[in-house]
Amino acid sequence: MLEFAYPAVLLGAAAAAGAVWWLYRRPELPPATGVAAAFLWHDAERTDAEASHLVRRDRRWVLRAAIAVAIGTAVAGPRWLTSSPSPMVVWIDDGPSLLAVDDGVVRAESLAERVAAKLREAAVPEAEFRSLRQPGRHLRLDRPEAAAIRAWIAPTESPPFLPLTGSAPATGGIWLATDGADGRIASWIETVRPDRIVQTGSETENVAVSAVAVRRPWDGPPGFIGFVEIVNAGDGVAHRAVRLSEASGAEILNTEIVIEPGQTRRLSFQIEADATRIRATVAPADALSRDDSLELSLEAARPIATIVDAACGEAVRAALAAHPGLRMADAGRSNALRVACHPDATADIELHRDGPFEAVADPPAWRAIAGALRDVRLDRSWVRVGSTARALDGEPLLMAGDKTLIRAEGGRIVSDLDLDDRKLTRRPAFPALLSGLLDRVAGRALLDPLVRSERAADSLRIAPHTFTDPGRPAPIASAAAPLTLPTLLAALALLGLDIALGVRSRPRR
Amino acid sequence: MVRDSSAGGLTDLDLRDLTALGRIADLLFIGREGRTPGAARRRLRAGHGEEFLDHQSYSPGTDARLLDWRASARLPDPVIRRRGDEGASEWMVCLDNSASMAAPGPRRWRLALHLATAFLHVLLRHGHTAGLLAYSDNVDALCPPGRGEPQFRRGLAFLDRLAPPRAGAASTLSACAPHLRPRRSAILIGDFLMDGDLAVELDRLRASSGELQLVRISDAEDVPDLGRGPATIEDAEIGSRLSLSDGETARAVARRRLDELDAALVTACAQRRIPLTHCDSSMTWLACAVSHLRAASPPRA
Repeated sequence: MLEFAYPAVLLGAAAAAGAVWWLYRRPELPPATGVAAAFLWHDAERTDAEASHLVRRDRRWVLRAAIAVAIGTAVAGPRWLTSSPSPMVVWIDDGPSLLAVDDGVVRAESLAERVAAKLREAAVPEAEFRSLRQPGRHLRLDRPEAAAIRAWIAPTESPPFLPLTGSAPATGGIWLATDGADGRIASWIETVRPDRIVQTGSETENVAVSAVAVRRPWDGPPGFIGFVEIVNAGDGVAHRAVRLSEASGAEILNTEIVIEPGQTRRLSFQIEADATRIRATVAPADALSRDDSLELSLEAARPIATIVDAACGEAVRAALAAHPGLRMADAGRSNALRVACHPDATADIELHRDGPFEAVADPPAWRAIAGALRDVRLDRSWVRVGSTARALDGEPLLMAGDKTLIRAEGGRIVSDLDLDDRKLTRRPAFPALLSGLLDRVAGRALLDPLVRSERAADSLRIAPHTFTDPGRPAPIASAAAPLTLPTLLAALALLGLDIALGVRSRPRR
Repeated sequence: MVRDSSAGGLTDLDLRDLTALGRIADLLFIGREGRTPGAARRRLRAGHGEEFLDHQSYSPGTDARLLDWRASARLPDPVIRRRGDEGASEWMVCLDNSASMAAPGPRRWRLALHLATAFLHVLLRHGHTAGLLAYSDNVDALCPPGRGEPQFRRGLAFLDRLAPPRAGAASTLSACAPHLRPRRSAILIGDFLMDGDLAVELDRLRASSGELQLVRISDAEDVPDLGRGPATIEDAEIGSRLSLSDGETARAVARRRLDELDAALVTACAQRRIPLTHCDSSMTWLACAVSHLRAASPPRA
């Protein structure tokens, strides 16, 4: 169905067509051509009155009236309504603050209620809900109901991705549903200018456990030291009891704190070596209980069980035994890191001792994929390599000229270095080299691991920013193909035809 | 009267070309001129002047009053005494100043101005007395006859100020007659697009002047292409508008009428031994002037 954005303009177009007809209502003689001697033409002479009967009315008035109508129609904003309506798009700011409770109601529920109510109020028949923090996640509802909306909302700590909806296909309007906790969407609102902003949320106070971290003490009794970090993301001073306990229930820390708004407090603690998991909580619970506690597994902070091949040399064995991140285990233990000093395809680290070894001609150089191992500097004079060393399977990590000294085979490491040579083993670089190889195989730093669990600071604030609802009425919720450009092109085509006809009828010079 | 200053102008006329034309004229008139005492040259032509030109054998029918008795007594046969034609050494270059000279474009008028300048230069170079006259249905402007370089400068200034009206001025040849005399010859430069009896006009001029020469300047656009269909034309001189039912047919009629007019002019001039040169406005003034000098130069003595 054809409709116009400004139907009144059509009256102007009709008037313009009438004006063209009026201007062409009487035939007019063509403009006079000046000649040096008109008497030469006397034999073909007609009086003006006689000639006016011979001159036909210029039929191009029809063409020019059509041009006027086409231009007027284009200005009137024609569009063709299609059968498939474009839904209202409602962006849901599904941040973690939607789990906050305001007056006993979870924000996500109150937001869903409000959105559904506003859509009903605006008589929006169909809406598509899109997540502002999970790209591509959407829900299309023919009759938006609060329950369906609430069931779809899945708050996440992911930051908003702030889509440029200005470049998206035309929709039946854009709304934003938010609790306003995340101020980062303010600039997005300025850009996208949604038609409506549905906002909920009133609670502002939130104290959260933002981080728990532990490490092994460098020179102390076995066990761990750590800290728990408390953040007041609210607007007022907060009193909280902080409790830290093991998974077994044994209490590690129990204290009360007073924390200013926006302040971060760190509380230190020590725990025994046999602890496996700890949990930090603040009490009493506030509007967002989700961030009132935080757990941390200590497994990654423990020394890793390691089986060292008996065939390994003294220097290797001594270096591994001194590594604080390793715990020597018996040969039969499973889930242990295995260091072999003879060909063994099952070992995590395979150190070849079968010589003969020879000096290298070129300085050893780490490849880029060696990562942190590149910090270990090895001099050419310290290094000897097995005479059979050559580029075999795997990815070279350390090379000297065309000789591969250390290579990675999948998750394993194979070394052809002479690790019994005192020129190397007496250097500080030797234990650093072994430590680096162990870190690479274990996939984490074993020497001094810091284990932590934390929350993003942006996800802790629930105090809403207040956005002004533009309150623009819902646009026509039907999909409409604009016809302005085709109409203008038609007018241009008619104009070109008119010009062509004019050129044809012009006297040749 | 509105003047179109853009139609004329002598700014693109090169004095070196004029000098070249003068040399060409010198060659054309070698052996055809007599030299009189002093610096002035006179045309070698018998007439009714006061100065002696030469003797010629008497032939029956010759006026007996011309017999030079004293010379005849010394010679075996009677001879007559001829006098030079002093009146024929005075010329008036008459330039058509009607509106049609500036229609349909400025080319015709520019060529006419250049030709008038060229003829003035040649005449003065050859010792004649020469003046300029611009006419339409009356004499619009006059530069009295004079001699030498000062007269050429006066003539240049006169022509430089001259411009035909855009409309409203017809051309009448006999308008020049009051300023011509039996001993004053005339060169008429114009389009000669006249609806009247051209022969009568020429006879009137001949009756009041000495030798008469015509230079007709035509233009390809004298009969413009109006295209097919109805058309309207407007006369540049009298401003009358004519409506034509079909421009193409009417143009053919006008073309035929123009050809007839040209033929009548040629016939009238031939019958009266009036030198006529036909130039198109697309020609250079030098080519047109040389063409006319060739046509107008007398046979070798």
